[in-house]
Amino acid sequence: MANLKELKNKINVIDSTRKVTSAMKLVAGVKLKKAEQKAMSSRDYAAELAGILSRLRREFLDEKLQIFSGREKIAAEMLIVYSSDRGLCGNFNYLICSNVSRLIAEAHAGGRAVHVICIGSKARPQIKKMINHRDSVKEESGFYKNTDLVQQSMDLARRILEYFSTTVVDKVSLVYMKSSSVLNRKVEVKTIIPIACEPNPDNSMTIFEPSAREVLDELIPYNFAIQIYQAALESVASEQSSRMTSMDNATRNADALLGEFGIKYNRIRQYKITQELTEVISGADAITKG
Amino acid sequence: MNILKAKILELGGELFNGEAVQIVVPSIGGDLCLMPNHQSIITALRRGYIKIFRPSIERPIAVSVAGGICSFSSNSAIFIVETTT
Repeated sequence: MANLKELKNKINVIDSTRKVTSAMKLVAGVKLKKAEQKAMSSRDYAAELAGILSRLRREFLDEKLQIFSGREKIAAEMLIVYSSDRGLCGNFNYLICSNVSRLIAEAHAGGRAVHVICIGSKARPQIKKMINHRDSVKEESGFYKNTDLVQQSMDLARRILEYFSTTVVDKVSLVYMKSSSVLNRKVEVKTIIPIACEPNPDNSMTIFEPSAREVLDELIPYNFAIQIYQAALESVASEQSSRMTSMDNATRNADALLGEFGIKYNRIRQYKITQELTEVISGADAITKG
Repeated sequence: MNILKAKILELGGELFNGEAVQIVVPSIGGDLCLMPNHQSIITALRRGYIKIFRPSIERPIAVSVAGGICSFSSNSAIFIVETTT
């Protein structure tokens, strides 16, 4: 009987785990939709901003601005790495960390120092093991938890610009997961400094108030902020789609186990009943014969 | 009547999208008034209010901003703003 009880306990545990994974899959689906909607609404902003930037770029064709052309010698680069705050999302964090490891190795091979800013707490312990004494790793705590993602992105954008203008870093890239569908995800490395921007071919006269330089200085943090914000939304969407897939797999596994253990449980129960019946019948037989 | 299109965008989404007859912009150098057929202009914004005068409505809409950029060309004004918190 002990075996049957053990099996029943196992079935109960698997069943409750199945309920949790199935609920987590549904929650991840809702969060994924929200993140995708937010990313959609910021696309218009990004497109308009790119248009203004390309009109401004035309004004500086003769000047060699480091923010557009980059510095000749890159001594240090910055990676802004988007991982997740929570686990149970498949290989999401592993893929991010393995790509960061490759980028850090490339930078070290080229004699460049690497400064890493981690968004999400899962990547930092791994990245800490990859860096050397010249490098640094910082964590933006509560980036996803804070409701004002917009303000957080603006603050980070201004800080990055300060790091660049004080020559702490010469190149800045975002490392995040981008998903083209629920099943397809890949790690994207996007360079935000130097800014890749083609000048607008339109030659119509535009007034810059107070001056093109001051407008550019005002515009650049917005350009970084939108990219940081969009990467955060892409990363959240990918994390949730990854979680959805892994929770779906876990639910399927639980279903398979429940089926297997259910058959086993019924078989043992049947055997016990048959055994008891045989004992009762043979007992009764013995009494009638005796 | 000549009208112009106005769109105010912040990182989180769209704040205003509609038609206007006149827009008062809090530019860094002082307030600017954009009217139909104004020459193309790109200006940085200071903290203040963007006032949008809509066709046949007397009271303007005022949008509070902490900074940003205004781009005007072909009778279309686009504002990339940071709102006040």
